[in-house]
Amino acid sequence: MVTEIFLVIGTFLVVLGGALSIIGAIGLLRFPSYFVRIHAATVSVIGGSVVPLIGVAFLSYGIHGQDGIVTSLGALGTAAFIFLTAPVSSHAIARSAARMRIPREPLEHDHLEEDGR
Amino acid sequence: MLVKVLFTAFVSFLVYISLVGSLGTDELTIGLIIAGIVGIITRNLVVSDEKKVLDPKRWLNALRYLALYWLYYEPIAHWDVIKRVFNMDLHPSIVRVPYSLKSEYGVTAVGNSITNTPGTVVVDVDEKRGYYYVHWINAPSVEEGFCYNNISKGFEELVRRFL
Repeated sequence: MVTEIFLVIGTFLVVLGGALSIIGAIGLLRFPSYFVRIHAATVSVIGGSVVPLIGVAFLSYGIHGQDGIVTSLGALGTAAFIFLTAPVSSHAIARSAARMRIPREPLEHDHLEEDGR
Repeated sequence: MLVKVLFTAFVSFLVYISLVGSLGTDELTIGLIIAGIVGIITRNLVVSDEKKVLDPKRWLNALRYLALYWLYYEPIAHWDVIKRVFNMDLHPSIVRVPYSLKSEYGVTAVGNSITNTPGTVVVDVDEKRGYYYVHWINAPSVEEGFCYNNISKGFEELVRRFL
């Protein structure tokens, strides 16, 4: 019974992650400027890779039982690493883009500019 | 000091085991030795206050943060940006968001939480005045209190209880 529940949750999370990856890709194409596109990229990174990795952890245990625990732990560890390190790269590219004066339009208010940073 | 070393060694050992993926005697021995060395060298970088490590309440609060973050904040933020991908209803602004956390870990954790939720990205941090500069995909108002309540208040209250 438990393994079936794990299978269902795992499959759901992997499919959800695939859908979020596609939506993130569409957002990358449709959004108008660099800074707005970062938000679509976040959907792809968090929803499109962390969520399915958690799903893989469930699936591995659901399919292989005890033998799948190592894969489950590896998937959970990788998800945790992406979760902790993805914002670092986001911060780095967002900050460097701001410093390089990459066009920020459309932008309704810009406190960064106001404070001269 | 022992707490610092043991905790750091334990974390690096967990990482090692999950990457190696086997529980043989050789791997465990090498892992313990290397984890011990890493723990001794990096203890002060990883742990700033050993009282906090030993406080079970803080660990429970950290779990509470993870649960709320994944089951409440992330789904809402994802849904909001997904809608905007299709209806292109964009009102982006770079806004000042004040923070009052003291520890570096706390500031980083809240900044990461803001960036990891789609719709808000931290572009810059003013550590002297205590401001995040956040690119917000839909900013109905740029008033500081409003931005604080809508972007970082929830994270800050959760993070304050365990970092």
